[in-house]
Order: sequence, then structure tokens, then C-alpha cells
Amino acid sequence: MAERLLEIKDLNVVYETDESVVHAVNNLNLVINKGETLGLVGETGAGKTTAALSIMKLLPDKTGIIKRGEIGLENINITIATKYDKRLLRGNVISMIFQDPMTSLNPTLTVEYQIAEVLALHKKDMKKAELSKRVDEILEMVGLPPSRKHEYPHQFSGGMKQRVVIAIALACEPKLLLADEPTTALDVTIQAQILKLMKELKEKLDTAMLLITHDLGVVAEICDKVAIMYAGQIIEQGMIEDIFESKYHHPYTEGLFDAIPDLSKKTKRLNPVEGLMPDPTDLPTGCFFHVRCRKCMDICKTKEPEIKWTNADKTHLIKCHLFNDNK
Amino acid sequence: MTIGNSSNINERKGKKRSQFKAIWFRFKKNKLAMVGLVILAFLIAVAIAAPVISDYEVAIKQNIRNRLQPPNKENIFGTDQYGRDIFARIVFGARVSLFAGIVGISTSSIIGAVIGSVAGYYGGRVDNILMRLMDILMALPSMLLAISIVAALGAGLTNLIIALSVSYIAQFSRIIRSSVLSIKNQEFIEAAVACGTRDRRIIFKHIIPNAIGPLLVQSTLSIASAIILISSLSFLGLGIKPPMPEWGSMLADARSQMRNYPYLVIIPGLAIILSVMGLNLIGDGLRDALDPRLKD
Amino acid sequence: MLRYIGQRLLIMLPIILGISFIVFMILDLTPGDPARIILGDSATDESVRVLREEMGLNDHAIIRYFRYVKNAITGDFGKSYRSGLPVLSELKARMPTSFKLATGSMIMIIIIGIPVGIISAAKQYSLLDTLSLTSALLLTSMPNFWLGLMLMLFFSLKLDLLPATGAYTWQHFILPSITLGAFGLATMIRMTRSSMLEVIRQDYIRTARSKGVGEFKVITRHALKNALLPIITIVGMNFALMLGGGMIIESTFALPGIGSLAIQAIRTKDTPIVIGAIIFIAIAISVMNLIVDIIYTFVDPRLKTIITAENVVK
Repeated sequence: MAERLLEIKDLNVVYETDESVVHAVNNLNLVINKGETLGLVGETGAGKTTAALSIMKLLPDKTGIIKRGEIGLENINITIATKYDKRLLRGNVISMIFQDPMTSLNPTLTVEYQIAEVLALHKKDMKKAELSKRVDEILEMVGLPPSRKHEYPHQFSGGMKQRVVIAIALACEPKLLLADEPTTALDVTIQAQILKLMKELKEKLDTAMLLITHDLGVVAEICDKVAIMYAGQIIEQGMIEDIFESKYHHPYTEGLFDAIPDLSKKTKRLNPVEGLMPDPTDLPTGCFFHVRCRKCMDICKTKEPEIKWTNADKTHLIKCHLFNDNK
Repeated sequence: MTIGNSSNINERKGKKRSQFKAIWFRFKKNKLAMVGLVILAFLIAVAIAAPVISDYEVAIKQNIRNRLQPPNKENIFGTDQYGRDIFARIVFGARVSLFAGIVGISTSSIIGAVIGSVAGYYGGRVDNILMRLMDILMALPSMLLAISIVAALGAGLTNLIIALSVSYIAQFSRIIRSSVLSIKNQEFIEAAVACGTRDRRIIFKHIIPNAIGPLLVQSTLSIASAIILISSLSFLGLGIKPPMPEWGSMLADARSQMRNYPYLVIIPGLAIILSVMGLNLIGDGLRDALDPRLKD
Repeated sequence: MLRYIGQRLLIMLPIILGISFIVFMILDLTPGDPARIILGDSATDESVRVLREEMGLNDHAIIRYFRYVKNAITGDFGKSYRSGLPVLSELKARMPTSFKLATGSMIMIIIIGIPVGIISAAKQYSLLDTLSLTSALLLTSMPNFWLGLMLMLFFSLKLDLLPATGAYTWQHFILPSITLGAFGLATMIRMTRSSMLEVIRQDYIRTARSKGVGEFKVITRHALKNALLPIITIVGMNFALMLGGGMIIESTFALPGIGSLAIQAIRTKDTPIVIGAIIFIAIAISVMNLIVDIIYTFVDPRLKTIITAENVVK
């Protein structure tokens, strides 16, 4: 049995403003084992990024609040960590790669400074010369010539910037890497390169990864496990085979797969999931998905479904009333 | 995704009609802006009702026997070195400052709006010539420009208003020009052009109404700074001709008596601060209400 | 870089020319005969007529303007109607005072304004933030000469701590510098605050935090340099405003600077001095703007690349 690295239990995160309360994450449960890659899939606004920011403790000050739940890292609850402890974790044990490499790097600092900084913060015993050597090694590792380390971010292309971001994130060889749509802002050809690089590096450094994406293709390529998120909840989760091969699915997951263009099938048009994500300030009763669900039943409108395992190994779970009587 | 976008646009169209309501709603929620509005309303009321509240004769009639009286029952703000009632002078001074400020800035904003929209709308050489001219005006601080105009034309209310309107034109034309440039390329203008609408109609019916927000904000803030400018010029003896009561010239008169009669300089100063602050609060509130994203 | 500066100086020329033209034409409307002002009321009409002829005052204003520009290029800005001294030497004599005053205000604005703005942004909505915003609002709402009078009343007349008027020692510059810088201080606090708040929202600040950088270092090392551009603009703009606004403050505190010279000249219809002073101030403002733009390139590495690249292409 694999060792548990991260365990999120009943996490509830809200954004409170003067006018309203946004329920971004609702009773989220998630487990990542050491060295494993979990794909977190969902539409924009499903709460994926909020979940990642909660792990990093980077929710916006005052407005973003963890209402309930625990985030355990190697069995230590980090929701109650002190300010100082949080800083020791960030960049060192947990790192994060953000969506847009264009804006993720500080335009007024050299690439070398930005990589060396994270090392200097967490590897206090490193001398200056060592730092500089280590920066070179890391740059080489992500496929950038170390000779360019004195340059500023604006002198690099988008793909190269994302390599720098990855270099910063992996500099301290963290145990967990949170990647928030790391390839969305890049060209398709560069996307593939960056994904390949990330896959190689995480295997080399034995880092676990939470990959946030809305691209099922990316998931199929590098994930071990997949969790589908809707309105701040996991509605289906399983091993990669469970999600891509099992015949049992949450209607929302089915919708997501139907929305992917398939060249082998003759269809006149794509089949998007009709409607919009529910308003997070005013979530519907019962199952959050029932308004858009093609298989909606009466019970869905009033009662929240429970989690059901679809297989004996308990790797594949679905949160839907359809599966209540099946097993 | 496609469905989501189109329904968003529909929603926005519905909101457009009530845009002013939305702005007013946001403005109303801003306590400071409301305080500013109350202050301004109060001052305008005082200025309009000045003859009822007080008497212009009292404000300008010298009465040496009753000079330099500290605030008392008879003269609640006291009297100055010529024995004139300070309360009356403050009340009638509000008329001068607000009138000159509002008229001067309105003139300036209208001229600036015309220059700016012509420059922005036609572009090319017209734009170039007009904007280089405005650059020259911008290179001179408005205080300096106003001082030279008043120096040339002489002190007095009319000349002061002329000086004010010229000094602020450049700012307004720039603001309107940039609004026009951003609006010009939007689809509804292209549609109007395609329908064969005449230029003048497009400028007045489509572009100016859409540029009015930033213009309103700038006008409010400019009236505030104009009131300071008016008092500064009068303080230097270049603004309003005596004996017309004006806050700045009251300060100039009071200077020599400041050591022993501090109320003479404090009271007119507070009057200026109150009106300028009121306008600044409204201007800031309007800006936040028009563009909530700008608010921190 | 040198080429860039040269280009900018070239662009400055037409603006200065335009300003001198506008000011010359406006002041030409000033009532009163310069010859009469120079000779005084007791002079005969005949001698006034001769002097008018001599000074070329009977020519059209445009012709006189071109003559003025021609002389100005050689450094001759005419003579004061009142003192008979060359305008340039009058201005030169007054320059140090104005410069000291503006520098004093500038130092105050930077030393107080930037840190207060930063703390205000870092501790948004705290008591200190509210306090600094309120004082900024107050400072922008009062005429600076009134603030000067109040400071004078309190520190000179009541407490007798600082001299009220004159320019003899450095203490004489304290109250005028505070007065002149007050408005700039308020804008500096507001601008620094909003600029910092804008930067703190950026993705790269989140990246810095995600690396485990402490809040103090996030502000000083990561945010400040990026927030600096608008702050430098404010510094430059304030310097310009202070040179213009210095007129009133110099008059209020009886400091013999360019501003008080100009005011005095306006009162006595000494047009050559007025034009000279305004052109001087306009040049100072343009040079300041240029300096600001050059400083930009040192703060933001992106701009430097653009400017150097332009030169390579040319």
C-alpha cells in the first residue's frame, strides 16, 4: 500500500465579500500518495484553483476563508500551521506552478535571482558559490542554457518562462507539486514539451503532483488518478483506467467526454454539457448538478447523493443517486 | 462554453439600460462620497440663499468702530480690520468661489470635450496639430497659465473665469480624446458609420454620451482645484477685485493681523477646505462608482 | 541612450518655443506702455515716443516675438523694465533659493510619502491606512499658502521655534518646504499606496509567496521595484508643480526665488521678467520629465531593451 502524502478531509472554503458569500469548495475529500500524480478536472469556476491555494495557504487575505475541514500533509494538519511554518513549507515541501508563465515571473529580477532565492530561503547552509552552481544545474535540468541566467524574464519566450517557473518550483525538490493548468497559456507544440518535461522531472525527483486541468487529453497522458470536480465537490474519482475505461460514470463526466471531438466517430456537432455552473453564492438544493443533468430524477432535486464505490477494490467512486441501487 | 458566453452578453444588454442606476447605487453605498454630496449641497444652498441668510451690504460696508471683534453674538465669526462681518463675507464668498469654479470648469470642459473628440475622432493631421497645441498648454502648470492670463487681462471675476477655462482645457481634451479613441473602434460606432450616420451626429449622439463618465469625474476634481486656484490668485491680489468678498482675498487681508487675531485666517481657510474636500470626495466616489475595478 | 536623450531634447524645443509664443502673446495684451513704465510718469511724451521707437515697440507683435527668440538664442532675454538689469542675471540670482526650496520639499515627499504609502498598502484597511488616507485627503483639500500661514502662525508666531520669513539660514527653508511639499506628499502617499496594491495583486507576487518568501521581503524585494514607475512619475510631476506653485509659497514666506520674482514682476507689469521666469519654469519642467523617463529605464529592464533596440534599428 502506497504511503499517504496529502489528505484533504471535508474541506470547505468560502470567499466572503460585503455583498455575498461564495461557496468555492464544498466538502472536498482528496488523497494523494507519495510520488503519485492526481489530475483534478473540472470547468472554470469549479473550485480547482481554490483547492490548490488552500493547500498552499495562499487564499486571498481576509476574503478567502477555510470554514471547515483539514488538510493533512504526512499526517500533520497544516490548516492550523503558524505563519512561519507555512513559509517553511511553501517552496520547500509543497510548490506551485501557476497558469500563466507570462505573469508569474517578476519582471524586475533576473532569472538567477528568482531561482536562487527559493534555494537560499530553504537551504540555509548553501554558500553563494554553491547556490550559483545549483542554479546552473537546475536550469540545465529544465532544458535551459545556464549562460542565460543573468537575463530578465522578458527576454525569454513563453515556453522558456514556464521552464523557469518549473525550475523555481522544483529547486528544493518538494514532495508535492501543485500545477495549476501549467500548459493552458502555451502553444500546443510547447504544451507537449512542457508536459513531457514535468513528467520526467517528477519521476526523477519522486515528487507527487496535483495537476489541475480541464483537458482530459493531458490527464490521460500523465496522471495516475483522476478526480472530477463540480461546484466545489468531487463527483467522481478513480484510477486513470476507471475513468477512461469503466462503463459506470457520473452524468457530468459522461458529458465531459461527449464534449471532446472524436475523429473516429461521425457526429454532426459537439455535445457540450448544457447550461452553466451553478451560482456559487446560491447553490441549488440536492445534487448540485441536477439542474443540468440529463438523467435528473426527483430525488436529485432534494437530497444530496452519497458516495458510492463502483468496484470491489474501492478505487472508483461516484457521487450520484443513479448508483444508489446498483450495488 | 459558447452557450455561456451568449447568455452573458444578453445579461449585459439588460444591465446597460440601468447603468446609471447601477452607478448611483454604488455611489450611494460610498459613505465618504455621500458626505461630499451633503457638503456640496449645503454650500450651494448657502450660496443661493446668501441674500436671505445675510446682507451684501454687511459684507462690504466698512465700520471702523466695530473692527477686529472676535466671534460674538452679533458677529458669529467676528469682524475684520475694516469692521466687516466675516460671516457675511464667508457666505457671499461661497457664491464667488462656487460660481467662478463651476462656470470656469464647465466652459473649459465643453471646449476641451469638443477639441478632444474632434482630435480623437478624425485622427491624422487634425489630431496631431490639436494635440501638439495641448502638449504646449500641458507643459505649463495651470497655476502659471492662469497667472499670466490674469496678469495680462487684469483682476476681476470675468477675467478670472476666462483664465480658469483656458488653464484646464488641455486636461479635458486629453481625457476626452483617449475615451473617444477607445470607444471609436467599438462595433456600435462602426455600425452607425455603416448606416451612413453623419459625423456630427456620431460625435454628439454616440461618442460624447459614452465619454461623459471620465469627463464628470475630472470636472468635479477640477472644480475643487479651481477653487484653490481662485483663492490663490486672490491671495496674491490677482483674482477678485476688492471689496468683493472672496475667501482668498480675505486671507490676504488678514495676514498682517494673524498673530493677534488668528480666527481671521482660520475661518476662511476652513471654508475653502470644506468646499474643496466635498468636491474631492464626490469626484473620488464617482470614479469608484463608474469603474469599480479601480477601487482598491 | 545618448541618442535617445538627444531625440528627447529635440522634441522639447518646439514645446518651449510654443510656450514662449503663447506667453509672449498673452502678456502683450497687458495694458500699459512699457516705455512709460521704464521712464516713469514724469517723462515727456516725446522721450517716451523716442524710446518706443528705439525698443521697436511699434512693430507688430509677431515681429517683436521673432526678435525676442533671435536674441534669446544668444542668451539675451531682454532687460527688466524696473531694474534695467538683464533678465537672465536676475533669474540666475534667484535660482538657488527656488532650487533649495524645491529640493527641501522633494526630500520630505520622498522620505515620508513613500514609506507611509507602502505601509498603508501592506496594512490595507488598518488604522494607520485610514489615518494616512485621511490626512492625504485633508492635505489635497487645502490651499498650500493657507497651510503655510497656519504653520507660520503656530511654529513662528506662537511657539517661536522657526523663522517665519526670509532665506538666511537652512531653518528658514523648513516651513516653506513643508508647505510647498504638502500637496505632493498627499499625492505621493495615495499613489504609492495604490501602485503597491496593484502590484501586490500580480501573479508574480503570488509566485514569490508560494516560494516561501516572507511578507517583508515580498514587499521590499518583489513589489517595490515594480511599483516604482508610477511613483517616479509622481516625483517628477511634483517637481514641476512645485516650481509653478512655488510662486505663492515664495511670496508668502518672502523668499527671494524665481516665483516671488515673477509675482512681483506681474504686479509691476515688468513683462520681460515674467516671460523669462515662465520660460525658465517650463524648461525646468521639461528637463525634469526627461530625467524621469531616463530613470524609468533603470528601474524597468523591459524599457531599456526597447530603447536600445530602437537605436540598433536606427
